[in-house]
Amino acid sequence: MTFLTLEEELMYFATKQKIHEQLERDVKTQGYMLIEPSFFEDYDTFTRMNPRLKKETMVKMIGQDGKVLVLRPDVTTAIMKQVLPKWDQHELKLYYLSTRFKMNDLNQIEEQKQFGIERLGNGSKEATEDVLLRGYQVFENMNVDYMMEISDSRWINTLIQEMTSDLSVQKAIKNWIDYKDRYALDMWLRDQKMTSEIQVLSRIFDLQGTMDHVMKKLEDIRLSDTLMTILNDLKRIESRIESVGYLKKTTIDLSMISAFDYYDGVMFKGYLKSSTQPVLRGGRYDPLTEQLGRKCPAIGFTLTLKDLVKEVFQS
Amino acid sequence: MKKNLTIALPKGRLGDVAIEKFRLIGWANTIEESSRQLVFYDENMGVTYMLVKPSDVITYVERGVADVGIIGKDSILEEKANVYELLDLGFGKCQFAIAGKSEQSLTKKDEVLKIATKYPNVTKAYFEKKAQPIEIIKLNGSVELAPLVGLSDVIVDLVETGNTLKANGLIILETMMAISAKLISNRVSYRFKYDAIRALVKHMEEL
Repeated sequence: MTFLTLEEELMYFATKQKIHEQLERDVKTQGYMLIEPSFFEDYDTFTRMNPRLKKETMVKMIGQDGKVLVLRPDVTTAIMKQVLPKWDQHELKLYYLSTRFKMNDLNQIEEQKQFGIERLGNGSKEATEDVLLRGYQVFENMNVDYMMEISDSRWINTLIQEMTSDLSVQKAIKNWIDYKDRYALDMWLRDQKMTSEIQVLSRIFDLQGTMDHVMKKLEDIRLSDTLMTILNDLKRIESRIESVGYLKKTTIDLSMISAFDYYDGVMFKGYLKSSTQPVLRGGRYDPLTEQLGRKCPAIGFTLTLKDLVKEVFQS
Repeated sequence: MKKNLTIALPKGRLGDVAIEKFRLIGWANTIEESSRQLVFYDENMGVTYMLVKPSDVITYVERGVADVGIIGKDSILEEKANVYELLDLGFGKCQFAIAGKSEQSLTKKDEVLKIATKYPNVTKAYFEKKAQPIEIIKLNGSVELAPLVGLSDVIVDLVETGNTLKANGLIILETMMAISAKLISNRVSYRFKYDAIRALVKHMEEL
């Protein structure tokens, strides 16, 4: 942000500080503990784990031994690498206030301060719902206008894997869905043999709204047990959200795609009216822990502080 | 019901067709093409129309100043736009093609192929899949001139009828991809104004 006067600038920092303190206070009372992760990631490992993340957006560095490193594009991966080797199977609740780095379109390094929580060692549905509701509470406590979008990464992954094992085709389909590009997706679907997965994919962009609406759109398609389980899980989450009164702020979107491929299960994105990107992203990411050498139930979310501070400051 | 939508339309041919299409569904009635005004507000429907330079439509939509916009796929690809591509509108059809003199080869073994274009990103992405090394020369117009005066070996450009190429003694050496106009939407607006945007897409689809 740019400021006209020093006074305005200092006011902005005061707002920022207040928000940081409130966020920290709220999670600390819930038993979350602070962690400070490392700045560097190994380039090869990171890109292998996140094949759809644009390589040109990563800030690269070369170590003395000639190894290519990235300035952490994502805080969660960094925390897991730090925590997992020492994890003793007990439930862990962590939070962070850390910066991640990104190369923007103008080839400038962008620092993004993130706030987030991670809950490890508890794979229960209650833990999932608890973290999701903490996400809602961030917005509710700040009194801002927001929308939360919820899906389950297993939904699209299952559909796509049933159809093709070709990774480059899987990546292309995910990209079309990510851009809600019905035209490109339809062009591809046209040449496929009609199966129930294809039927679902051809309607994927209509599967948004409440779970009732989604189920209605799917009622004439015979879904596999795996897909039904996912829908039932989402239904359960929706009724939990309804019970705390946040349903109006919620959209189920089964065509939702995450930039990071490590989510496996419930995932969600929070939007603020004034922002141009989702400001909050989260979900269950057990596979990431496995890729890092040790499988452990894990769920969390991350919040871009700048966007939230801006919204609060302007209102 | 007021829709509370802001729509970015490209000035020029593509925008004119877009306005016609909007009129067919009963929208855009407040736009006066002959006026030099850039913003038109439709109070009854609660829709604001902004006429902007075609290359700026994406910026307006990406930044959320406009909720939706109409723009060619060529700009979306070149700008690597982070927006939703909700609908193919079926007009503004043309194709990206590599063109040059008829005797020009696209594979120059050890030499660098020089390409003049207004679309460096599209060109780069396309040739990344090929083994041929290239040098991109960015031009802002009259690209057809480049191979004639030896500035480049070939050009990458949008081709609609091929008349301009022909008039300059150039031919299509390879077609790259089909292009048409798209209805795009800002990712955040799509969430907050889902019903209004979805209704617009449905209307347009039925045309």
